[in-house]
Amino acid sequence: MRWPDGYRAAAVLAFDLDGPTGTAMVNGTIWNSPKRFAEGSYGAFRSIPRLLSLLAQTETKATFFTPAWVVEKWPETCVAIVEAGHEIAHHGYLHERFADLSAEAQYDVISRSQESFSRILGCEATGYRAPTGDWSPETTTLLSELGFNYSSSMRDGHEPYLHALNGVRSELVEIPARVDLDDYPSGGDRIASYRVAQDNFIREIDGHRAVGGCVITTFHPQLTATPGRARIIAAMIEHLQSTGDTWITTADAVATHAREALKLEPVP
Amino acid sequence: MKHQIEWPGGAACAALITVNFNAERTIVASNPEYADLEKTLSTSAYGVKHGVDNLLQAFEQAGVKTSWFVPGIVAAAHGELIQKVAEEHEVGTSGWDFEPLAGLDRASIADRLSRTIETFNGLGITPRGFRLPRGEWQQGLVEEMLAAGIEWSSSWEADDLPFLLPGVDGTLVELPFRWVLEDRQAFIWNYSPAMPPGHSRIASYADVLESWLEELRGTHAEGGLWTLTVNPDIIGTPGRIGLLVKVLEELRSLPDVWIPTGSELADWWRSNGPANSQYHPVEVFLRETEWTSL
Repeated sequence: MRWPDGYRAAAVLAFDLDGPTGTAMVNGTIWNSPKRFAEGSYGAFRSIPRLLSLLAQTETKATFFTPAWVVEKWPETCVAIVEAGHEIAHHGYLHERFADLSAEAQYDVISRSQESFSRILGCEATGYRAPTGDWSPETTTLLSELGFNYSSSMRDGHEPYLHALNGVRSELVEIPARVDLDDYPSGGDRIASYRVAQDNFIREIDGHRAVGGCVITTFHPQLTATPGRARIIAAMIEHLQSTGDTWITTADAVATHAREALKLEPVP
Repeated sequence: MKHQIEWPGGAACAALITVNFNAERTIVASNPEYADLEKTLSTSAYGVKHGVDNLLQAFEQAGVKTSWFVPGIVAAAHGELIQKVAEEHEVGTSGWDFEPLAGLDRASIADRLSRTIETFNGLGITPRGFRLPRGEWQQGLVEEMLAAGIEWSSSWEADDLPFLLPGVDGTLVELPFRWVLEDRQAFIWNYSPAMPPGHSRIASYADVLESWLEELRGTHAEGGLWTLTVNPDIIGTPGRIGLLVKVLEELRSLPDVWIPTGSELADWWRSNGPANSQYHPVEVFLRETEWTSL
């Protein structure tokens, strides 16, 4: 992909700010599990101030895929994310798995979440990342009709592409995510080694630079923004900045650029 | 980022060193059918025979006081060893037989706790700290613990600082731990029955040490609480005790680290720490549920 201003590659620091949402909240079992609830909530309560401080120090913008329930319960934290110039994007209301929802239910989840975003943050999400991975065949049409700028849900590339709807190239950009840049699986057996995880992530950055792709992470603040692991993120930002050839920006900015660039290319 | 906490003596951060000493109950309490598997249980017996002494020696050399959690049934079986630990270190408990308390009725919880406390009292020890061995937190546990004389807990992984667990009439001080900072997660291994399930391989010693030190460096820069948890049967071995010695050396080489026992830290926090923020995970949980206390 051709990147602006002579950049060789792009990089998006993307976080899934799930807090305590997820399957256990969708099925209600979280309400008998205060310790589990607190482990997820740590991400909103402690990790976000740490990340905002790191991002401010390094003058880096990031993207936070955030279930609207988290925005409602930690409003000041989420307003601080937006006020610092970062992007907050859609990630379900309670981190629902879209593959389990009818098209109507998906629409309800998105509109209820956008209403919360407008009321609390003063803006709606332009980006979407499918919670728990899979969506249903209707989801791309729905995202396209609702005017989303992009999705970052698939795993089939290392640079943006345009989704096809009914066999026709649409305006909906996909910024494919990578399991190699997800903080859950990387770093070896057991609890991941910090050194090994950091080494894997830096190699992925350099690999994406070599092919002119788009690095995009799937990091979870409650997992990776602890006092020690935030140092891995700091090392990645330092490495990205030291290359001088990588456009470090939000997913929204990548998608907006990519749509125009991709339209100039022949339909594959 | 900096925490707005003025630690005693102008310390930069606090470090709590905890020891889980469960002997063979880690294995047998949840799997009674393993009670006659002598080789499997001998992996834990290593801690009783050698690990505890190796830990005590490492702590003495480094000049640190630590906080131990021992089930009542283990204290009953190894009374002299526990008394030896208590000469220099704080001894708290993790219940009668390393059992999860969630799901038990209040009378059974009270009964197990009082049997536990009586056992320790018989050794001349009054436990003030508690670590929930397994399972979830159940509503009413704060009250039951307070009634048993427990004043602080180290059972939650929810914060970088101590916080309060609100009960009906009083609070426990919680000194949160972190899974990555426990040796068992990285090193436990048994062929059959498979431990851990799925038989993932023993972690790299060097990498585990480096991860522990990275958390310590981050905590030192931010002014938080770093809680290490070790097990005598896991880290008290010839090859691994060096990891503990190295961590203690690093801890002592950093300027201004306060290394209290659990009770010292809990007492200090109760008098000097801030109230829980309204956005603290336990406060949000209590607002969103029918629960009125923990």
